[in-house]
Amino acid sequence: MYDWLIPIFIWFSTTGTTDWSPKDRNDYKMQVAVSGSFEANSNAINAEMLRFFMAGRYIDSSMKDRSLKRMKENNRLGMDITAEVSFFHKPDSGFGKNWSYGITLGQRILFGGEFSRDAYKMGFYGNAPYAGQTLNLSGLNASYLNYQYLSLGFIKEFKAPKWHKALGFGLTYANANQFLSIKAPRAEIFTEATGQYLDLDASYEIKQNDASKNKFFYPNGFGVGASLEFTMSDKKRHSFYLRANNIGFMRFNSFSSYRSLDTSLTFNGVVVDNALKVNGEYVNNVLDSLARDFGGNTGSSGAYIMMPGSVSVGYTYGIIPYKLHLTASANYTFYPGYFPQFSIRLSGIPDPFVSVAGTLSYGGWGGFNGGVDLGFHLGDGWHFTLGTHSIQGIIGERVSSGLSGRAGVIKRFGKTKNK
Amino acid sequence: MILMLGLTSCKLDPNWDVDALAPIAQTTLTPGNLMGDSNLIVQPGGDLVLDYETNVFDFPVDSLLRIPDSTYAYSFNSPINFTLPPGAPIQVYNDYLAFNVPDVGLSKAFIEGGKLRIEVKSTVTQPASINFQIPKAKKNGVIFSFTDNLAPAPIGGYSIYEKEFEINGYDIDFTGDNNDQYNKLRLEINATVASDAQPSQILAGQELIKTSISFVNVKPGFAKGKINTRTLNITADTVKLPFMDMVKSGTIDVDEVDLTLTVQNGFGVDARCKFDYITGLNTRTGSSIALNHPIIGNAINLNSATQIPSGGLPFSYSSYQLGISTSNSNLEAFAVNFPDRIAINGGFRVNPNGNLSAGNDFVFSSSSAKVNLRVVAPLTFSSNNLKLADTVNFNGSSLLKNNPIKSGKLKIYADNKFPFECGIKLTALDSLGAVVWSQPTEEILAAGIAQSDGRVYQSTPSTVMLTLSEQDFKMLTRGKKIFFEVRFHTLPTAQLMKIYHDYSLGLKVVAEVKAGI
Repeated sequence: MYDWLIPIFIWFSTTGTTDWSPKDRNDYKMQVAVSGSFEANSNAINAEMLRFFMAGRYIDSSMKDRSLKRMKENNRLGMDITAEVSFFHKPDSGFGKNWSYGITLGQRILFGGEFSRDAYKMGFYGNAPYAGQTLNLSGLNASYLNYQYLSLGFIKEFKAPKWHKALGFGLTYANANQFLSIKAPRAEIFTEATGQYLDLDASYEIKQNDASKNKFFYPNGFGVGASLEFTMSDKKRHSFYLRANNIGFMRFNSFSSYRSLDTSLTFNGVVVDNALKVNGEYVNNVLDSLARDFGGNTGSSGAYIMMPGSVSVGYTYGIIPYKLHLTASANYTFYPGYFPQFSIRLSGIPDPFVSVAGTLSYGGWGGFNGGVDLGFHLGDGWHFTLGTHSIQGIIGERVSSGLSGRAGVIKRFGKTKNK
Repeated sequence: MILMLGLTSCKLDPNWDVDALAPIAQTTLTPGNLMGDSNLIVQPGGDLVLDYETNVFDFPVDSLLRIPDSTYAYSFNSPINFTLPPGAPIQVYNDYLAFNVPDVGLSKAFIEGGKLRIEVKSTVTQPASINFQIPKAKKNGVIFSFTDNLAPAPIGGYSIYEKEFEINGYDIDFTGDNNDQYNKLRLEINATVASDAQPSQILAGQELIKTSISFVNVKPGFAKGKINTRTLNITADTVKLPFMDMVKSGTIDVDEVDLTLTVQNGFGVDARCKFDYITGLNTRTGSSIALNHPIIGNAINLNSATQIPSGGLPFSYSSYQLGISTSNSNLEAFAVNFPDRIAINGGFRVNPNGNLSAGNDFVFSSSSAKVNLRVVAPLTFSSNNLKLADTVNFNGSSLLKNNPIKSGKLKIYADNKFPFECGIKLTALDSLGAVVWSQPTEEILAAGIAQSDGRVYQSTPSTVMLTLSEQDFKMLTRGKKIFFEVRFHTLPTAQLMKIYHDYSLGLKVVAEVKAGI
């Protein structure tokens, strides 16, 4: 019986919180896990602002000012909230020798995007403080997505005296629930010093699911994705993995709406032909007219977007096999604003009932991140994991970014007798 | 699953403020906006004259001639028991229609529209036919006549036949068989039993054929005959003067006003018109001033219209113009009372001397008698704190939608070339009309400065600013209407100022608000 350094039980999982006690997990044939994770991160917006944003608390000027100091020309912001229930089984028979399978049911909300410093100013301060200036919002690209998914994966292990290999593949079906996409490759707005006119030079496109069907779980479309993973490890010190998770697409139905505009204009206010004729009906007509003139082209059509899949590659070195491991990895999630993330992780098991890991990473929606993970073996196949990907946001929320947390409960069944 | 369900209640509700600055609206008020471009005449010197005409009263043709919807029923009842042989004729009716046209004796008419509906009930148990004929109703020279089959009635029952005709285009002669009558139109209705029918037994008193003829929506395009003497009343205070009901206070001094009342007779009858009084009523102050002029209370005789086409009409109006000016009446006092309604009482008497035309009175469908009012006044006046006010609908709760506005400023940039300053004051009212917010003080837009020749050559810029606190906006959200008052005061004070065609008041409203996200 081989003991794997590689965490095969996190296959097909989005939260990645079930990675614990690699030695122990091979003693069981079945596992059920419930896990959740959230991350809000940015390379510019401070953690305190993210926290207030998510809590719906009032974001005051000093808070906005502190984030403004960290703004770069191009900035990133993202949020990922996921909850999952997974089941993994390694049957003795039925699939053939060394086959196992897993099923995951999950819910995911994603927001991500990239924006300029001026877009931050415009969004959080308004244009009034910048009267007499041009704000350049070009490059704005943001997307919101909410979907539910069901994944089914299979793993085939290939055992050999020196290297142990495993190949897994899986399919995911998603219920496409909500999405909103805003892209503005060109957008500049100039506010005259006294506000008497605005110059707008913009090209933008907004897509959205059927706004009248925004209830959670409502099937506004579907998505399909495929996963493929290869792992390879020797008996004690080296392991390597290559993973492509949920590569596919999502299609929102033909009731989805779009709005696009490519224009350069000066807005002097609504021209009232005759002020003496202004009444409620006149105002409504003017508003309708403005919506037509400045809202651009609108319509309904089906929308295809890429499923927010990811690719990752990693190498783990067992400094002290089963006790202390060092992992270097890189991953990328296909979602607006996401930057390739590079991580180094040191994980140890000082006690059979406790695991500790520390992570240092750069990328994603944020910059540098430090993470801590804890795991507890509660006995009788029960495990509990807890961690954060960005502890810097907790320690120094006014000068750094990143808020994240993840937790999971695992119950393993069917302990093998040959250990 | 608990985590997943927890996510379903996950709803981001971000909360911060932004300061937005943007132009809201711009407008240019010209003399044409105030008075209507079509009502202004530019004089050679560029100054303006108001020339405003409106219809005061209009008597349409149906005031004189109206053919009401009418139904006439005729039947044939058997006086004895007899056997009805094949081919037997049955005369149902052959006489004049007693045409009902009140106060008018028609001799001829051309029908422009309308329908003739015919219903026949038959108790004849054998096949038969029915013929309707109106010998003096012709279309393109062909008399009105039609024949159709009647289905045999069941024994003890009856069959029904219905038909509807469009009668537009018919010329009808109502003078009877000898051309010496009015409103007389011969109608012939005959039924015939089919020649191959079986003999049938008819009982005494049996109603063999019953017909019903209806004239519906008959509109004569032209009618000729005699119209009886009668009086059409001119009575009401229905003449509303635009913008006058906006005047709330202040005075105005005008240079000169001319008012012309034009009475037009488009009927082919003589007429006599008399105005008992013309009173200007200011409903705000309750003040009314009766116009004094020699013609008030005295009759105006009008000739008949003529059948000479004019102005796109098949006839020519007979007109009478009544000139009322500041020199021959109290028109100035009448005008500066700012009447928002003018009450006119009088009468329009048709054929006042009886039928003298020997049956040659006429009307066309486009005929009418009208009273028009025309005001001609140079736009030269002085305004002493003349205050106009009006109420417009406003949905204050919309300020709470999406991005609730917490506080802000409204800046109004003005360029005024009119020689009067404008004071602006706004008040928000709730649905019951109670004040929920009021602008603390009147804001003033500066007047254009007149040169020594009394003309303004350059507009005067000015800026007014309304600052609205968070509390003000809270109160405004309860508003359902905005009551605005605009005060005009010509400068120099009490000097008559001409208004020129190039005068304007340019306004641009810019909002700077703090809004919640």
